[in-house]
Amino acid sequence: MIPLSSYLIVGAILFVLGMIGFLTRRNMILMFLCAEMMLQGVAINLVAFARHHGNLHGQVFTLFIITVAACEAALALALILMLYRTKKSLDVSLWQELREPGQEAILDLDEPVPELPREEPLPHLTPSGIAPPQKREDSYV
Amino acid sequence: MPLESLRVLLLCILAIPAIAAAIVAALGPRVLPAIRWISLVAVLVNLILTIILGANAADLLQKRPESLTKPAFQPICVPGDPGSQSETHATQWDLLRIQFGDERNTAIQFYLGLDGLNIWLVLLTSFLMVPCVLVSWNSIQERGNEYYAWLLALQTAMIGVFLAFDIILFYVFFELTLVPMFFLIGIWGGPARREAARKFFLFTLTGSLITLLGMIGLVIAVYQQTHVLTFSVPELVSRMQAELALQSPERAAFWHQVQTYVFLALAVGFAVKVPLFPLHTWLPHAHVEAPTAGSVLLAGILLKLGTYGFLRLCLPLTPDAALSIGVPLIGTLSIIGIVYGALCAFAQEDIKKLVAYSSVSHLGFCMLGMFALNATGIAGSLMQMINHGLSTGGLFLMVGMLYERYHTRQMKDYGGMAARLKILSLFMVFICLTSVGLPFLNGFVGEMMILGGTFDLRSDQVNGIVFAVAGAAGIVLGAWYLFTMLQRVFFGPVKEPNHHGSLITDLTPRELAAMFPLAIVCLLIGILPQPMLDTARRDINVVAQISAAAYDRAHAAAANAAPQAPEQQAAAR
Amino acid sequence: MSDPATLLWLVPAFPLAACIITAFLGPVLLRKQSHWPTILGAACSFGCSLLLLISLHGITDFHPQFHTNALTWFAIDNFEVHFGLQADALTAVMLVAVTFCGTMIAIFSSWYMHNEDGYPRFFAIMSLFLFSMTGLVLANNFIVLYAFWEGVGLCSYLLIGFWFTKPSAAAAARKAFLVTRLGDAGMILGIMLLWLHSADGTNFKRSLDLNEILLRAHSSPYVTTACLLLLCGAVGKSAQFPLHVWLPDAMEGPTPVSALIHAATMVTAGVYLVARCSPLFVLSPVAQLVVAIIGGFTALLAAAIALTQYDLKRVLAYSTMSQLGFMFLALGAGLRDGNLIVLAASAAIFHLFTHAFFKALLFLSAGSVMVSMGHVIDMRRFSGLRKVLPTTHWTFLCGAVALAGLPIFSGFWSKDLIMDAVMEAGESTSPYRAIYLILLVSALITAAMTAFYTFRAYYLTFHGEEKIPPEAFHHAGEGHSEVAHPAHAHGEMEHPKNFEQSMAQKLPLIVLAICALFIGLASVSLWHIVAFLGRSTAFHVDKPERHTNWLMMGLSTVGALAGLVLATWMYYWRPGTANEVAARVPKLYEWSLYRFRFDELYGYLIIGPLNVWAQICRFFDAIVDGIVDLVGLSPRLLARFLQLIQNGLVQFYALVTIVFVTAFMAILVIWFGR
Repeated sequence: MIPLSSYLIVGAILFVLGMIGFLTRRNMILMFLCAEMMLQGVAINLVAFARHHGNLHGQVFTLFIITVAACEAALALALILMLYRTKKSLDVSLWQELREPGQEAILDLDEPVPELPREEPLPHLTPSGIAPPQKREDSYV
Repeated sequence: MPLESLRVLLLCILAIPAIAAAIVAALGPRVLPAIRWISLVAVLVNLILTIILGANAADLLQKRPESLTKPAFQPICVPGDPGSQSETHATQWDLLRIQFGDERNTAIQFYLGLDGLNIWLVLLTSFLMVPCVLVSWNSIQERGNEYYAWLLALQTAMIGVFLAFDIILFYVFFELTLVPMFFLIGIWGGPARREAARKFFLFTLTGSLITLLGMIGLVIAVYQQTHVLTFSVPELVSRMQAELALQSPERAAFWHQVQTYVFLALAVGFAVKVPLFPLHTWLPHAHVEAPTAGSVLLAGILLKLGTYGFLRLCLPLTPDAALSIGVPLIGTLSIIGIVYGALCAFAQEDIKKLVAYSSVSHLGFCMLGMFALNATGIAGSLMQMINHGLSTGGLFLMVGMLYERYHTRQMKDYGGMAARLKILSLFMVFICLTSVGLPFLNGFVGEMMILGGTFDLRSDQVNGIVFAVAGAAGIVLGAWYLFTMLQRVFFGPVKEPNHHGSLITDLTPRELAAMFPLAIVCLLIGILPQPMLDTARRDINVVAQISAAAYDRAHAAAANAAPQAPEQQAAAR
Repeated sequence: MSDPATLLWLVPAFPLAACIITAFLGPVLLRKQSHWPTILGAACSFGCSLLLLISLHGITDFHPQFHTNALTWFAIDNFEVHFGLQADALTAVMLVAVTFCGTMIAIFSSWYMHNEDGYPRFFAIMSLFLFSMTGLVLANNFIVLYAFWEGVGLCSYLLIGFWFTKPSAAAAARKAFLVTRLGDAGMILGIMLLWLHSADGTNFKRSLDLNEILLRAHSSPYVTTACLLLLCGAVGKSAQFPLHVWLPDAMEGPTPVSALIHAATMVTAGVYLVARCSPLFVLSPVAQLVVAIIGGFTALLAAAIALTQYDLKRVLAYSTMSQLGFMFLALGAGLRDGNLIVLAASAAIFHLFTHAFFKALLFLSAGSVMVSMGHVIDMRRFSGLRKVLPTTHWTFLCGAVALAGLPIFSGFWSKDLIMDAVMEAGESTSPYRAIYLILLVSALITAAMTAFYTFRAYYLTFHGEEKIPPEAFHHAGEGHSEVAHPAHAHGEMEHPKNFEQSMAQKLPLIVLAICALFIGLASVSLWHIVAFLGRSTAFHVDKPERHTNWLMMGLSTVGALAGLVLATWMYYWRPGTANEVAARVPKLYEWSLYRFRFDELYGYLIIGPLNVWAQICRFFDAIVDGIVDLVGLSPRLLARFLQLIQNGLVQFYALVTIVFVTAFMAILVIWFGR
């Protein structure tokens, strides 16, 4: 009979490994996999407790987690694909635009962000005709 | 006139401005003349209906029995009142039913009514709207439909506050006044209108949210003790009286604490609105930036919402706290406000700002009288509310008319206007005299009663005579800044600001139509104030008796505590 | 008409009606005839007052009094103001003086003001003034009295500022209003104090009724305070030290206004108030002493200033102050024992009565001079006018002898009575009798000074070589606010002889001159004014009696003659002497010339600090506003710090989450894990 603590230790190790991976890797797919690993650590915990208590609550939860994780994986991979398409890179530090205005971007000096290939600009059409006059009252509150 | 039709009239004066506002807003900005006329007709019709209602109701109110068995408000002309036989005229029109535990059903009600405290304020509101529409006639050219719609909506909200007898309804209307005024200042105001509008809105909103806390807290406290959940103000007042009359020490301790918090919470919102001394800084900004009609309504009516709130809710619902905290605190703030407002007014260069600060000073007077907590002072305070509405409203109208001609409000730009604009100056001097409180004009009566009431103030913490001396100083200072303004702007050698060649005329018939009735009413109130007092007497006595009972309780408590004190000392030895 | 109550209502009603008629019809219909309502109203009012006086005199009751029904003005709780009128001897004497002088001055004004722009306005306000003044003396209630009191102040403001385009006039008007209002604030506090203490043991109802308060008053500490507060109002209105500074400036108004308001009537309101409240004042010897000292000091101070002034109207203004000081001195001399109170108050009112006539006369004469000289009023610029203005010369002389108190003329009788009253106070058992004796000596000196400055003005104006300022001949073109001479219309201005030609100018002067000379004698001998005044309800003392004090009469005659002779010597026989004397005591001369620099002193002590305080408040308000803005700004400031966390790095967010969750868990475990 393997004691409960052993399961918990395995779960914790999985969780911490995932966490460390999530915090240290800059590749988005690796980060996603690390997050999955954390989930697995939690799932082991739940199953272990279910066994310990002798009921199925934990198992049911785990099934839920697996389902949700599957959905999440589908969505996340789709998102990652979209992100890759715009910047041609999987480096997460390229996505800092959501920071508050007036702050410098944080750059990792040890491993610099790869230069992005410059994209061909799309051709612009010259506007034709005269734009209709738009009198916008300044006094809106 | 039968009571039933009076009830309909009461609903009409609330509904007509709202309907007119909707019509005007729907018309679109292109048909400005039609919009003006519709607004004018609406406010005139409303004024006439209010006068009819007021005359009939005043008659009924004067006939009420003088003696009070139990101090409680008894509004008349309550729409939705099932029968006229019942003593308390309660409405049956529920807005929001509340099932609370297994107690009997209760509701937030659409509870409107007239009594002696609000009838004259409602009349004042309807009356001041007419000059407001008239004075905006030419000065508002852009987005006229929205302007008049907001103006009329504001009237509905203001009348609603005065008429409401349900504490939540009161609050709803109270907050509703903010929105139209916010837009009136923010869209049609002066150069710094946005800041002023935002400050006005946030400042008063913050205050009144705390007031809402106080209101709900009080309702819940009453529910806790009596297991009756009610939002009706008369009901709350009589429950409170019954509770406070109980001779139980635990209850007394409970209510002491509750009253303190509730009073402070209620007072914050109303004090911002009044405005009392340290909370007044939104007022000069809002006044200076607001269009003329906005200033008139702001000074004339909106500030009265604060004083009226004190009178209607604070004094009757938390009488002990009003005595123990209100008199020293609010009284002191009032006298500071009187002197401070006057000094600030004197130091201003902008005429409109001067008038704005004079409001701080005058409203200080109003609060001082109210917190004398006796019938004389409260009556004076009520008179002062009406009089300040007329006088300061008039002053803002005059300043607006002057501004419309020369587009400057700086005193140094003017001089000797009395020789240039004779009729305008005549009215200006007259309105200043009413504001200074010259006898046989409206300001005098209120000031005398406030001084009398303050002298008669019964409190253990403060001496009323000290307050009265400060009040008297305010009378002198009031004359000082207004007469200095008159001297600088209207007397001396003629000095006209540059008006870029535009024709400067004396008052037009339209402006005369705005000012003349106002002046007549000022004179009339000064000569015949007694009908107003007769109408309000019973309700003033209600408040005064509640306060007197609080004083007696405080004294009884002190008398009980006094014999124990030596024993405790002996025990300590 | 015969019903006294109707008469009481009619006295103020006539001027009020005149005011309303002139105000509404004047600018459109009456125009240059606007003086008629005022003159008629004042005359009718005078007729009623005279009827009132006669019927009161005829009543043999000890306290003859009429009163009307009281109408409720406003009443709530126990603060009740009932509007009613009452008249007793005191009121009747005041009314006759006010309405008579008012009528004469209205007639004179129709000449003086007739080329003015605001002709209807002037007469409307003048009627309003008469209404307020008659109302003031008739009021039976303290609040009503105060209301009319303020009304009088308002009219004075409007009349002083009549030529409002003149900056000095506008400033003087404001000053007059504010200074008197300062006193009024004290007065209303006094009234409220009386109201507060008016409920006696048996009757808990408080009252503002004059008679009730006066009857119920009893000696207690509040009485002294209340009296002193009432005195504030009286001092302000009657231009006594320390609130006297407005009166000289008030001479900026048209001269008839100076005559009406600042000589004959309004300024006497303070005297009336103290006399009316003398039952209160006698309860407090300290208050009485203060009244006497203020009166005596003002009399001396004003006389000392008047000695050196060159502005004819200012000399008269200061002499008014001085005479009012005499009246206050007399009022203050009424002590509780015996008949003194009656004697003192009667003396004051009698002096008020005679003073009204001769001071109105002097001012109107000065106005006559002023118009003829093209609004030059500096006595250094004209002299020897007795040939040019013969009527004015004689009337001024009449006024001068009356004011100087030469025997048998009006001023003599009343001033003598005042001296008598003060002397009695000095001989009484009062603990302050020594002070009264000092005041008596100062009053005698003041009387001599009065004679001196009066005749100084007389000699400077009407004697010496004939000198007429150039303005007298071409004043018509000096702008619309200046009065054009009537002669201008006839094109005869080369002949100074024609300066006096209008009946409206001469009639009031002559009538008033006759009154000034003989009204005192007539009052004393024909209708025993002192005994009559003694029967006023205000002074409820049993048996008033009059005894002649030959010593005082002699002393005051000697004093007046000494002043007269000195003036004659310095300005008539040896005209250069005055300058030599001035050069001998330059400091004294300068202080007197610059009115002891009270205006500057108040500027430093009151106006300056108030201005500074106003600026401080304005600055402080900016601070308060700043604090409010700061509160409004605080969310934004807080955000400035919290912003730093939002650096857009997903992993940083995760790290922060983990750190805080861990910390939270740790706390949970440590706290509750045991």
